[in-house]
Amino acid sequence: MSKRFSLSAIGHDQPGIVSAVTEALFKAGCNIEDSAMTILWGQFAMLLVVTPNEQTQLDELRAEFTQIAQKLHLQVSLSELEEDHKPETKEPGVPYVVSVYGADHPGIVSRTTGYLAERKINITDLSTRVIQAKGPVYIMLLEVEAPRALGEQQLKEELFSLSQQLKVDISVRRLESELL
Amino acid sequence: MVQPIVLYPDPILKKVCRPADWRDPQVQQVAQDLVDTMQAGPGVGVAAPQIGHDLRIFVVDVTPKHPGHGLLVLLNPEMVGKEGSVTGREGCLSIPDFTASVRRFSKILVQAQDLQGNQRILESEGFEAVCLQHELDHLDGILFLDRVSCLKTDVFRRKGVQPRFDPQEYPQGAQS
Repeated sequence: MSKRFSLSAIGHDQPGIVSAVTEALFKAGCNIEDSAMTILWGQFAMLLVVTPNEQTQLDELRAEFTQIAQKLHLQVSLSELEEDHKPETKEPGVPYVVSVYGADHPGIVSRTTGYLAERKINITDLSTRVIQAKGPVYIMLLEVEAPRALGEQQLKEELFSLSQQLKVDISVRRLESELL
Repeated sequence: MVQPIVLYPDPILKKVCRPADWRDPQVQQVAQDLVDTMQAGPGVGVAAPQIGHDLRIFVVDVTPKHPGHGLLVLLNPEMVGKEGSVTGREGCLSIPDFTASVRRFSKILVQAQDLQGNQRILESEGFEAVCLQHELDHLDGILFLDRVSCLKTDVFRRKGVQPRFDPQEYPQGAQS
């Protein structure tokens, strides 16, 4: 069996992109394991993790995607993934949702994520949006996983001081998953 | 009179508002402006800071589209009881064109004064209860962005939760 691969495609949004990409994969005997697709600034962006089967000819698939890319004006990239590695057995972190918002200016994302990286806080989901309110307002929402050793109080205090430096509003709360 | 809606990042939206005295003519005027502003716009609730006053007053009316108490004009409201939980998408007139998933109590008890100074306690559930909690937050400088409960619609698993199929067990991958 050949290795799993990732496929990314982005291009001006129009009907038929998902259909074209997934049809090519289906015909080549590939199975879509995981995917995320969204519209970013009018561009349709898709990210997939795909498992080929024994019959899959990767070269043919690449050729097929070159055609699709031309026809639909997409940027397509296909690359093999590293061998599946079992996640290291570490104690699970504490999940939080962090909201960062304020008048738009450069550096909000980089300064915030810089702090998180420094504290070994793992980002598990992130989305951003600029809205027009009283001027452009940048909104960034993150789901993160913090090391247990970092207490909630400390996290809140450090994010508060970051919010003052960045002149934005930051709030953080525990992410509680509901199991019903 | 209909008033313009204050938009973020106006600092008044992040302030803890002061108590409202029903005998103060300004308070009566703000209450009337809130009703006029709500009825003129698409919102089902407006709080005083959203029209530029740091006073603990808001108005809510979710009827006739949703069941509820009709027009509520609440002064110095407090949540005195809460139970259950419900997650829904919320937006805010002060943060236009943005919605996110927020978790709220599904049923609440609110104690507040009316415009004649009478204390009342009202029980609310469903959409009206969510709306009341959103407006209560405004009086404490809390926006719905501070309460976002999840980024997606909560349909799928998060990172850290094992996939449904162990890749080792199903080398071909599950058929999608």
